[in-house]
Amino acid sequence: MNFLTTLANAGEATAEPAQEGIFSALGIDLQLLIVQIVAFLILVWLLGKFVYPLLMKSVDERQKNIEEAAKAAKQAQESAAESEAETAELLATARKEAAEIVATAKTEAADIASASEEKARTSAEKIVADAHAQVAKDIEKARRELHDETLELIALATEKIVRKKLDKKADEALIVEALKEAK
Amino acid sequence: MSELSISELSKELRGAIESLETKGNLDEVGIVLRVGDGVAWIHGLRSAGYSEVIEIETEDGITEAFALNLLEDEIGAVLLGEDSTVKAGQTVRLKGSVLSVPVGPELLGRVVNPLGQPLDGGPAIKTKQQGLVERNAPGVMDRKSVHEPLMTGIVAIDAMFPIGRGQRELIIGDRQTGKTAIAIDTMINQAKQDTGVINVYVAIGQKSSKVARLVERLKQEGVMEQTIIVATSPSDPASLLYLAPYAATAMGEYFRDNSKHALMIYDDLTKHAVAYRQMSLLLRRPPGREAYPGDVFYLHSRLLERSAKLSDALGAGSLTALPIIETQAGDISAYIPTNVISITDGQIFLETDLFYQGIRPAISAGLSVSRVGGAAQTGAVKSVSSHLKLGLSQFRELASFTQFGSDLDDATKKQIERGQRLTELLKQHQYQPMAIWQQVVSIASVTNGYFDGVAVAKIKDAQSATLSKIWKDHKKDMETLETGAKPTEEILKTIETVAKAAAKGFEA
Amino acid sequence: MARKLSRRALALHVATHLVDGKPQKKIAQQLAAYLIWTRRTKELSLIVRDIQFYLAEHGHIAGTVSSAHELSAATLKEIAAFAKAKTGAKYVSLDTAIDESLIGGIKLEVPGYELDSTIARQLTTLKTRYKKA
Repeated sequence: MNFLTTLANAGEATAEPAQEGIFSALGIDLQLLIVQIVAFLILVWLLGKFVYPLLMKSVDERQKNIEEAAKAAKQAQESAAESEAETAELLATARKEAAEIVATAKTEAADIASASEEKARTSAEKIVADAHAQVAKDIEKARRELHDETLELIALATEKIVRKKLDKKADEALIVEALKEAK
Repeated sequence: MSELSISELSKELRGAIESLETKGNLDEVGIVLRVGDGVAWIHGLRSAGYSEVIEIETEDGITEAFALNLLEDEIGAVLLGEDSTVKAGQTVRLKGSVLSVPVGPELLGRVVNPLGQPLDGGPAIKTKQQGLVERNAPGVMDRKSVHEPLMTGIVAIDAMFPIGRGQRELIIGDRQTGKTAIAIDTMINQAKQDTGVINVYVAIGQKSSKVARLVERLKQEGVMEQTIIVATSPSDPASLLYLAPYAATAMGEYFRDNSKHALMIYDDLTKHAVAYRQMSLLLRRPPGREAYPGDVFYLHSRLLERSAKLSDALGAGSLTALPIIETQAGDISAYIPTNVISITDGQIFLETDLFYQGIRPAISAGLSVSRVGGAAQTGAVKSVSSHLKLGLSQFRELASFTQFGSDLDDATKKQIERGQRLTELLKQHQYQPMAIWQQVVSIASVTNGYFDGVAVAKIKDAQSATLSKIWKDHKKDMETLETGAKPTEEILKTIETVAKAAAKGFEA
Repeated sequence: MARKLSRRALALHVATHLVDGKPQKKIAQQLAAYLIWTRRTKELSLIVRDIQFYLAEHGHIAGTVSSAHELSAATLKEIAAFAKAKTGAKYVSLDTAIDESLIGGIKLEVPGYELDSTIARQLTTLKTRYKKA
């Protein structure tokens, strides 16, 4: 401060006579003004060196944060949209597969239905064929029984007749013949 | 003949009268001393041979018998009919031949008794040839090793215990475990797959109602045209039960000796042994273990040895046998079961426990075996079934751990789950034998893990979905598989895609 | 207990004695005594049949001829000749029997063999052997 006042006094002493008239008419103290200007310049230089960068840095930082936040928000929005599309795709695939399975099941069911229909038809035909076969069998059986019954009757008739007709002489003739043929 | 033709009838009668021999011969005769329990004791006939047929002249005609006991003073002959008509003092003559039955393709589709008489109400059997009931089995040089498969249509058997043509595979288990069901399914499969194998089913002492139901079922499935049924009911004389399997084998041998393939099913040999025991005890032969006669092993061994695969020089025909034995309380170390096990080339063991757990066919994978094995397995099935047997045996080892659930490590859990799926896969409904392609696709789907995501209870559904889909979309590939050749990479890939797609619908 | 002698052995023994010409009464007594002692009298008829069989082997045939009517001597001679020729025996002696139920023809019974050409048998054969059902 002493230096400042000395400087101010020196300045005052040299510049005083020339400028006395303008500045005193304006009411501006020239020496004080120069000191104030110097002080202001020093202040500006100090601010500029220490305070201004810090300030700017914090402002920059805040701006960056804001920018980043905005970017993140945008990204989130994009990915949300993407996963929505994916879900829709999966659903579509699942629906398609389900439809396929149902179609296979329907085919299988149709196959089973037609197979059982075929089976029913075949067994109906078989029943008819079996009935025919049974009738044929019954006739065959009746035929065989008739055959056997007739044999019995023949034997019975023969016995009755031969018993009556065969006398001693004829019998002996037959016996001799039989002996000849016997082995 | 669908009408009563009187002229035909009278022609036959005239023929009978004319052929009536008016002369007699000086025949060797004997007389019946006593009759009882199906055995006639005869005096005379000194030149009768062992097992020779003799004719007893009764009031109702001729009753045949065969001489089994040739003693110094008398002959013990077992009657082949009812003993009610035979009386003491009746004359007995030698027929002049040993026991033989009609054989030939005329028997196909018929139900006959062991003497060749029809039981199905149809016309009498007239064949061009007669086959000997007792015959020697083919010798060593007359045979070829078994190399052709006999597909049963049952996945468990065809994959793990394959049967070949000419093999004897015993089906053994307690009562009501599905022994006859396996035999019936095999017969149905021969018709379904058009294999050309003739079936001969011998019912030894089976209920007539059971045989009737069987005939109905076979007719329904269209199998009867290539089947011969030789049936004896429990009320038939023991001699007929004794002869039934031998007579039926004679009928099957006709096809074997004529370059064809035949399948014999003896249902069941336990009743056969019991009938033989009855006959032997009544013939006063000394009883052995469990009162069976000393030659009960020979009874079955000479029967089963006749089932063989013949060499190319003799026509390369074959006769496969599936004898059935009923055990009591699962005791396979009883007398008759051990005898027959040592005779046959493997056994399929059915367990009551498995049956009641719902595993049908109740085949015990651990105790069953086929001694012919891979040599007679279709290439297609062979390629996919190696993992099947291994998976099941590993599962059996770990079976007791299933109760621990989540406390097991991942590898064990995986094995258990795979085993459960394999067991579920091998379950099969009756009367639904599976073709080769169906078996290959089903086994491949499970052993390669395509069905690992499917719930165990839904395995059968997934299987049927896969099969119907693959048949619809890839019929040609399946027909290639059906020929039995090993599946190509392409076909395996097809199976993979279809199986995986079908599995999605049944996920747990 | 001694092993039971078979009927064949007994018959052979008796037959050999008879063929050798030894006294019949003695051997008959021996056999009867044995049978009573071993309580086998019921088997007598069978033993006699066996003895007849062995005698037939040695050339002595004893047979029966049954017929519906009485046969003349000439016919009987023919039958005896037939029996001799067929069995190769040296001595043939035939008993006769009348049986109306035979209707016609003869039934010749020799040890171990029989010739039955009676009409009754033929009718029975017709009724039974040609049966279909």
